[in-house]
Amino acid sequence: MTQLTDEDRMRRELEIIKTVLAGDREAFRYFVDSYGPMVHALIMRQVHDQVLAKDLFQDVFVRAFRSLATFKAQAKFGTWIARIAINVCHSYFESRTYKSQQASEELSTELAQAVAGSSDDEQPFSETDIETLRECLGKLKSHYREAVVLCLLEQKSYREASEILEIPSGTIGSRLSKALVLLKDCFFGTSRISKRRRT
Amino acid sequence: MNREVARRLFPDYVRGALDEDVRQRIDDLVANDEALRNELSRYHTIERMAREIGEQPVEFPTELVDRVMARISAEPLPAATSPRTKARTLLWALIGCGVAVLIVMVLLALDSRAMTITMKGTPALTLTAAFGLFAAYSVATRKYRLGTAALSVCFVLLIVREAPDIFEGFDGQKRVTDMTLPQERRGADTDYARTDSSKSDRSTSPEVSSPEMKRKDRAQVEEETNVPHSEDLRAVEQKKRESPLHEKELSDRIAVESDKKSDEWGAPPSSASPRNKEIPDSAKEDSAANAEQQKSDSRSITSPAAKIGAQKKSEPAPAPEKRRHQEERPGNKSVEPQKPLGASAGAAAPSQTEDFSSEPVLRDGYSESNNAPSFGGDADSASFGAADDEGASISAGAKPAENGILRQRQSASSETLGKLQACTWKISDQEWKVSTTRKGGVAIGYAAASSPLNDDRMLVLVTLRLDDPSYPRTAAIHFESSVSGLRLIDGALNEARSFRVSLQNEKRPMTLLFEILDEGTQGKIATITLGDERTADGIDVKRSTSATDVDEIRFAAAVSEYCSLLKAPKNTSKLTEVLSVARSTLKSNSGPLRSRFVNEVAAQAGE
Repeated sequence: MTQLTDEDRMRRELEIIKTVLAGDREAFRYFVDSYGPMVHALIMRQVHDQVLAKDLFQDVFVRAFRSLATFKAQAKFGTWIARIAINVCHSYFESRTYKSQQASEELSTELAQAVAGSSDDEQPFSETDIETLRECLGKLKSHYREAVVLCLLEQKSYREASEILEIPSGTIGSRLSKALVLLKDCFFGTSRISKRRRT
Repeated sequence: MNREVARRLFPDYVRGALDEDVRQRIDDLVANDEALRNELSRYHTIERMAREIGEQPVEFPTELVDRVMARISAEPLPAATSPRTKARTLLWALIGCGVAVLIVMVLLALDSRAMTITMKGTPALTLTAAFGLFAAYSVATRKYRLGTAALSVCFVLLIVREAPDIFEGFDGQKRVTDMTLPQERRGADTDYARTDSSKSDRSTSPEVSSPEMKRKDRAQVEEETNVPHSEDLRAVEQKKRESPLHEKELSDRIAVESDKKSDEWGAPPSSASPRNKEIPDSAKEDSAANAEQQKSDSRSITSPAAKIGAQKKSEPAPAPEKRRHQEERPGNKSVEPQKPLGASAGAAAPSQTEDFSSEPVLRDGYSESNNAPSFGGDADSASFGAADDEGASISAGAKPAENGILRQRQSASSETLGKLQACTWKISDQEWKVSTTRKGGVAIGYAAASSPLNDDRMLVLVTLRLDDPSYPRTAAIHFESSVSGLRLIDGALNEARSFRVSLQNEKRPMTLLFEILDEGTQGKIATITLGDERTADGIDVKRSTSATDVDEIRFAAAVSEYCSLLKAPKNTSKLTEVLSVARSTLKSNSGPLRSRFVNEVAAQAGE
């Protein structure tokens, strides 16, 4: 199977969009198949919850379907739908549900850490450390988290990230720097690894 | 580069955003500093862990595709829309403007007073236009929150009756559009013809807003009112300020006198007083006739003298003349029009509104008379007529209780109560002049009654109204004062030496309530100078009475008295009197503001 160039892919996607708008809903499956994994990963890396990620994933594609007529092909479809995914996640993190949930989770995390005591896991980058960093990531403000997820986790370029987030590349960089500072403070302030490394 | 700078640059260092030379300097610094090295390693750790997280595959549940497709199959097809073009944006902007205008029109229809609500000299129309543009912009740019906010502010500005202080003069009937304290306008007052006129003209009518018209009006006003140049006026103002009789002294004097007279509160004017003696029979007949005519009216207008008398502590016997006329005239009998001022009545068109239907019309004699022809035949009763300077004049010194009170639903009490805190009015030694930049057709009515609280004060109610449909819808009138002991009881209870008033044609009249000292106020208290194009209609002089007005005057007096007392040491007996008046008027015309006022006074009086 030959690899489609960006231009060919774009042209093809526009045709599919026309088909969908003409009434062929099944044609939309192409987008779900093509961009589903990327969108799901993007969501998962932000919410770290499989069940929630599934819900948000569906919301992203339903929203994309409803707004399909407004897609102007000025950006790639992938960028467009990633932007929708970011917005859906952003809406979730701004929702009351998330905030109340976060409060209870913080409590349980503190409790778990207290119970864990000194049972050290000496491996650097252990699952615990990774999980701690994920938690810290979840505590970041949306715009910092989005920058980290896109640039560090998803390894997207600043340009791509700026297209998705619709902000300048410089802003992406400064947000990323600030996010690193916050993550470092959070991680080494709460994780057991920090205690070990300080000593 | 020091340590702190290097630490701040660590995030950029880790993400590879620094130039090579900066990186090198950081490397050098870190190599020799253990703490910095640890700090940098932490950043590296975070960065590496983040990348590791990113490299971990996220399993994509394939059933999600089917779930999404199932949901999409239930969704309606997205409507194909074309991107918004400039033409569409313009169209939306126009629609937004239209909506804004429509809303404003509805608001205006709901409350005709809305047109006159202003924000410290800014006409409502300007505000409305500004907010309309905001609304249009928001619709065009789809920033609906901005539009909603703008329209909300517009709505509040146009509807709220109890406006904050910035809306001085904001009330229903007084179209006072610019009222400031004399201290604030020392300079501006003197050249009112230049500043206020232009402002007013801008705000009221496009006809007068042209520069030629403004210049013409200014020259006209200055010429007709003999107003000197502003520099001269400033000199006069300075002189007056240096004169020994200051406003404060006058104010104190009134306060002292009112205290002295407190035991005479409510006493009717003595029939043996010189003023009363000089009232001719014809005037009394007219007054009684008007009273009878008003009685027959649906608005339940009754004899002023009887009403005022009934509300006073010591009940005076009604004037025999008056009683005779009241008995003789049947209730529904129309009243003969009174003599037109300075001209034949035949040329005058009667007023089209019921308020003044039976009243005479002042016609072009208004501009011809050099004497002030008395309304009712006696200059000493409340007389009305043309002034020396080709203007009309309102003369005072009338016998208060027996002069008619304009039949006018007056809300002086509510407007004063709305701003009770602003009890800062003072006595002015200035004469009040009323001039307009418009041509004639202004109906003027007046009434006078002794203050229910102090016999040495008199309350004068003046009503102005554009009374000819052929004239522009609105007109601005300029006031300037110079009569001794006259103060305006306005919405803010301020003494306003200069202010503008907008009249709306065929709308409710504007009513001004003045208080004057009885002493030495035998002549005219206000000069009304109209524009150059006087028509046959001239000035429509009216005089009538209603029980409501009497109550309002009494109540306004109580409010003003209360305001005076707030500045003076507490006088419980006086407060009790004020409370008594407020309560008596409360019975006939209750309302939340009145109740609030009564409660306030009661609290002050210690009840």
